[in-house]
Amino acid sequence: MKWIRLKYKKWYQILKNGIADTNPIVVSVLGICSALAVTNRVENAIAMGIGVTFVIMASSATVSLLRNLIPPKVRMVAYMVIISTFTIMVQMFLEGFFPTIATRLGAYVGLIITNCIVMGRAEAFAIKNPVRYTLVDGFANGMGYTFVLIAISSIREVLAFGEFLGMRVMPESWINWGLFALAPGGFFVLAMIAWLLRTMTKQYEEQEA
Amino acid sequence: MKRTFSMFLFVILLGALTSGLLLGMDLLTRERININKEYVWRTTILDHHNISYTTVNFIDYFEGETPVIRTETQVDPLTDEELTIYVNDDIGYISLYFKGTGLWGPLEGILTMEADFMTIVDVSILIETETPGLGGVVAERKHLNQYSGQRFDSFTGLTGVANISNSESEIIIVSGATGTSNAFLLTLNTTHTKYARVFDIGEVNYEFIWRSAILEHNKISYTTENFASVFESNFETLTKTNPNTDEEVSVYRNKANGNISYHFEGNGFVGPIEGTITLASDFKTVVDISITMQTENRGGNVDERDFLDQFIGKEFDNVTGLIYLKGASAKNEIEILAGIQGSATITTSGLINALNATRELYAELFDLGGE
Repeated sequence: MKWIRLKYKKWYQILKNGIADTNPIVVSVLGICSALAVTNRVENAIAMGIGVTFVIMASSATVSLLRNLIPPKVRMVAYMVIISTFTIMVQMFLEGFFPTIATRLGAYVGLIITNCIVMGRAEAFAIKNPVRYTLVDGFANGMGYTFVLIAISSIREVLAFGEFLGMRVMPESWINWGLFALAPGGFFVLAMIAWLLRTMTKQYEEQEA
Repeated sequence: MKRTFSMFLFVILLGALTSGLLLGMDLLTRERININKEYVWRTTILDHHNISYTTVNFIDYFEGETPVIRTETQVDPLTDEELTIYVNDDIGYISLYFKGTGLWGPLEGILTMEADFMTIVDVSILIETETPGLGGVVAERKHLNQYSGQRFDSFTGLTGVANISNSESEIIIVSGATGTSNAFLLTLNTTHTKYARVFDIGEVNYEFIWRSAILEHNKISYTTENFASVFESNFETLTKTNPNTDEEVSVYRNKANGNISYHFEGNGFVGPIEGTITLASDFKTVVDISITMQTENRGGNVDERDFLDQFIGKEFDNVTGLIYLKGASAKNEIEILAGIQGSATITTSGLINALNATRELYAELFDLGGE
């Protein structure tokens, strides 16, 4: 009985929307630049996903906390400052306490600043909702982004390098499809996954009359 | 008015909040980051020298009572830069920290060579900001492993090849990342030459670098074996004392057509730019120009033929010399180096100023048509 009621809870709906119904990449088409740049390796996709999830949650929570103080005219600038601050903090924290992970992430951490999803959630959700729901929304969208990144990179890494998470999975005779290591390969796979998921979730663009 | 005031207050509040967060995180992490950075480069040297260590004792190998790795420092007389090498006297390995520029940002790491300072033991890249999966592959272990056992050629250093390495100085570049690969090879070659010169080690043939450039300007064939004798038979060397520095300076006159070649030195945006230029017998018209050493970042393409070829046929004006500007068309005008505005312009200005000053001095010293 409790499980049936669950789907009427607001936090459950937010979680479902972020991960599936309004998935930031395949439905809202946000964060495409980084999705193409980092998805030639699964390891990169996981690292980027975790970093983005943290920054969305922290920046959205801060925006939500300050939502009654942010003047509408400068809200975009305020979002940028907040997002940049958390991204730099993540970078410093990793370099100080987890240097191995920081090295592995490399430039990806800095790239989080440019991710449209982070600003998108601040503007679409955090500025209008209390902190607790904002945290759920940030987590949901971060996970939605991460799952799609892992899906794209799983295909690209296998086709482009014959490997999965750095381990050889294709026979030695396999000839790497170099195109899939480059941005055009990313576009192909992203388009196919977007098409597949939109068909499965029946998310179609409305036809103009 | 009230709205403006509240906005101003918010900006102050946000600035204080974010600055406080960043300052707090900086205080919390600064010391650890510095320790981590030192740990990384020192342990990379220990790895290259096959020495086992722990997070506690790694420093003892460098600074203990009887250090295994000896530190030797010299100042580069050309740039006043302090250079350090790390020498393991037991096995003869020599390591150094190299700093250069990739396609998008800094490229830094450790290069270790055998006692001959020519054969590479290992290379590691510690800092890079190249495109992940493309230029970033240059820093991956799989790519760097091919450097072990390779050797800097005395004449040409390391050279990049596309698919198969046929000699001990050839490195297979990363497919799809030619820019980063070439930038990395340039960094290694420049660093190796600089350290070899300052510490007087290795077998780098400096004579070949400038003599071959002059021979090429004059379209004279040579090999690495005969370049010195070909040069002597084709050129007459004129030497004078520079009254400003009391140093001897030389120009090289082509016995057949009177072309005059000489070296020049100047300062770019980052560091020195050195090269060789050949002028026709009128001592005005540029026959060819080569850059033999430079350490520029965003003006790093100063040594590329696309930029240098525009000098061919240009003429030094006896009053203004060569001038640089956008949209160059006149005989004494040079197009500013393409690149990030500001730094690339300073690189261009450094080069042109060096060319003008050197020609003016040599015209007077050697009485070469500079009136």
